Amino acid sequence: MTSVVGVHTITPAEALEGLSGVTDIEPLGPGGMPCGHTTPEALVSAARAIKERGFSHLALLTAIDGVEGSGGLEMIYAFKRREDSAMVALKVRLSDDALRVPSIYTLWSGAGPLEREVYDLFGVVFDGHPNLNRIVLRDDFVGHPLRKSFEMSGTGVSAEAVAVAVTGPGTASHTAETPGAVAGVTLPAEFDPFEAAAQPGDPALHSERLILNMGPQHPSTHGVLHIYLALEGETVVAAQPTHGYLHRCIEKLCEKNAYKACTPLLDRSDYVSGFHTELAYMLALEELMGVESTPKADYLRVVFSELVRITSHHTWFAAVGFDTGALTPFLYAFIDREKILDFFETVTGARMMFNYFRPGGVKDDIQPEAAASMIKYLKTFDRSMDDCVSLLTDNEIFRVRMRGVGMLSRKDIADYGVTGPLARASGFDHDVRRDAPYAAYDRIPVNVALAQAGDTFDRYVVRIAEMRESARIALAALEGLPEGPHIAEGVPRSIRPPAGAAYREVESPRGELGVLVVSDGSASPWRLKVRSPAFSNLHVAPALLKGCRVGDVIPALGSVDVVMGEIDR
Amino acid sequence: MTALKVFIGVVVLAVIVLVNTVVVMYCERKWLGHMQSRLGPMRTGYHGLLQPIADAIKLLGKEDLMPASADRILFLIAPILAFVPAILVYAAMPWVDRFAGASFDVGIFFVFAIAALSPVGVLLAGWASANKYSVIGGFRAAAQQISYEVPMILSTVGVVMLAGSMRLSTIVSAQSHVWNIVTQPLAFILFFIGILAEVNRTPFDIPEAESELVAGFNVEYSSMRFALFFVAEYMNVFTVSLLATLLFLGGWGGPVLPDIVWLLIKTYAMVFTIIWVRATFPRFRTDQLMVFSWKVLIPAALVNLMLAALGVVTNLFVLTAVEFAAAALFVWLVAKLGRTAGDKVRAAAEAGEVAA
Repeated sequence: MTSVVGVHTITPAEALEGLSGVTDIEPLGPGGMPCGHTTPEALVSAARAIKERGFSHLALLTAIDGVEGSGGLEMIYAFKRREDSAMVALKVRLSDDALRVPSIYTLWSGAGPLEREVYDLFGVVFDGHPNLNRIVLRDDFVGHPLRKSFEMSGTGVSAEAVAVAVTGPGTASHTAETPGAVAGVTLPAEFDPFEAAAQPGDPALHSERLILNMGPQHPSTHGVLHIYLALEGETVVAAQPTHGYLHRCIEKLCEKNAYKACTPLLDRSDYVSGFHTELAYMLALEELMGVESTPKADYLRVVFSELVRITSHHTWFAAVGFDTGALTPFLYAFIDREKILDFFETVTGARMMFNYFRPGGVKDDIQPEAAASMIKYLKTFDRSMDDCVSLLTDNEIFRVRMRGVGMLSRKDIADYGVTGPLARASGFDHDVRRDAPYAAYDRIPVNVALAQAGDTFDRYVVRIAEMRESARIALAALEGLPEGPHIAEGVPRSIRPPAGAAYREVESPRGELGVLVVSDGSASPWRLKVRSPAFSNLHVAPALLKGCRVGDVIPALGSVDVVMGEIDR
Repeated sequence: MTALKVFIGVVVLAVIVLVNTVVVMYCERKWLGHMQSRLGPMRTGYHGLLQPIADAIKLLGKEDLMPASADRILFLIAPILAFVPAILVYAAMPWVDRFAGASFDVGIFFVFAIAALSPVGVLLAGWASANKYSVIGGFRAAAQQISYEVPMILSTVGVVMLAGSMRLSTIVSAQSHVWNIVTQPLAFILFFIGILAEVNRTPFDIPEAESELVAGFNVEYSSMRFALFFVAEYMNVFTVSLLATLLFLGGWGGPVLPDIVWLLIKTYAMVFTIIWVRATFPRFRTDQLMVFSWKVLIPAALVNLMLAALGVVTNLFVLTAVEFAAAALFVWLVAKLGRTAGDKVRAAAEAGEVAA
């Protein structure tokens, strides 16, 4: 990778300077990234210029409903330089009568699904988007629920919409009574199965294409994920993921709850590694409130982040075996996972839904006995990992199944905004823990596992290395645990941060997990957005699965390690 | 009188086979459980001994569902077509020297001929269910079983050549001095791989790959029709274990203990090995499985045939020596193939990245 010094010497603020149509450059929240304001007309050219200036990773794309009661809303785009995690942001102000911006789909393929989400939840129309339809909500849903003007009466859906859902698609009343609603299931225009099926297939074989709806009721799509596959024989010619089955309105619920009540909600976003979402939220909240967490809390946050990363990777490891038909790794991994969950239970009182991090620290101090038994376990971790990986790594069949399958090029990674182990397996040397340290990561060195080929096997190797590294970091943090209070003094019981915005990122087991908190000075967040790494990672599927065999689809998807809870939120 | 004798014989034989099938089911659940640090069934009877019976009762009590768009007649007869060959092979299977359904001169030929019918039931089940996963599973099963019959049967030809007979009891008595697994290890390896594929066991359980095909050809079946597939599958596991024992492990021959005990010990040792493989291995992909059969196993089986011919014209020592060398070479080659597969794609990707 190019070093930080050298080519990329411009500061984030300089990256925004001199761009036509970009004005009022100011930091996003206290101590945040520089943020410029632009207009819909100038957006695409400004984004392209920022991309060309090295900020080539689309880190965040979302909207904030008009703060300060001004009506309309703001689109917010954040761009990141992968080399050193420097970030810049662009804001576009839209008024209620013209909720239109041009799509930046042409610059980043990964922007497509993110723009669909904004369309779904805010009603912003993206001009030039190839398939602008709902992504998490039902296709016949009426309204855009993250707008403050959305009626929250009853079920939250208009009576007409319910009637439509009951009558079902294709009826005359359906199309007549609900303008704007789309009949039943709409297929993304980018991939129309019926069109793909109509194509004759291989002329030499006189074959026909087969459309396979894999999921959402499928034992191994890793949650309620639905993928359209167009098959030519056993080869996938097109793939398109559909999700939203696990949408629980977490972001909307956060807007209705007090700041402290958001923590358990965010646990349920990425339910496999709850600490990471909690931590990103706490970091953003602390930035807004101007609170510093204590050194001991920093270390405890590292310990639990790393332990939960291990359990998350354990879950993935179990699934890897299962995806390829090996049953035993599943049980081996879950034995180890169980031990770590017991530690969580001892310290936080919960096994998965922790609600443990607080602004300024953590809820409870760690008991010395718990710390001692954790240290004891972590010292034997490498050995139990050896037991697990000896079932798979050197197995010839496993290697045949994994090597050279589901290749992701570096171009795909950059194009789709893929982060985390997936990006590292394709040679992107980037890890938030090392590049933009948070909690105590500035005091504990992090070795980043890398691989170059970007196939399913490399993702496996990278994650296994990460598990061992996580155990090492957690051990170092436990052994170096400083004395002192576990939570800062003087954090108010009722949290009312001053108006402003803060965006902080952590390295979750799936990649860059960011939380954007926008405050209007009241007791609950005005807007809370979770930048889900799994969301962007999942939407690389069309590139990932094309050319795979049917038997490769599940292992390749498994290597993405999606958590549908976090994708749908 | 003869008819009565035949009837009683058939009933006794069927009971023996079914009891063994139930035992195999129980063994699989317990052994697999222990290999995976689980207990397996524990609640029904002592250490779950009654679990297979409980399962059978549960399956009998379930509703017999049929998809609306299924091909009715084919859907109904497919499980029977899968089950009948599974039990019919026992007509020619000897248990001990003088206890066999019927001792044919062409015993092994009959067994393979009947076993070759079983893909028909599976294919029909997949097709008749009118479910995409079933169809894919059915086609895979048929393709796989036809492909793997070839190396499996070829690898037994050497055994037949050495015994000079296709009668199974003659093959067993020909091994009274030394077992075929010793003189023909390569043949045994090929045969073992072949039977794993023939009975759809890991790593060849592709027709029922639950992670991609949900359950494969039998996904739409329930109740007793599902039970027929299920029983046929475990009966096949027992059949091939018994066959391997007869062909390669000296059948019922052994010191001190009665013949039938030796036969069962060896057969269950084979069953254990098959379950052990299941606990250890991931699954192949369909195209890899085909490549493995046609490009690796069948040539190796032909080589084995030549070595067996060499053994017939020389003596057993020569045969043993060359077979061991060939087996070692085979294992080495397969391991090497497994390690390097996909490396070309990876190397191309890495080179492409560097160029870009």
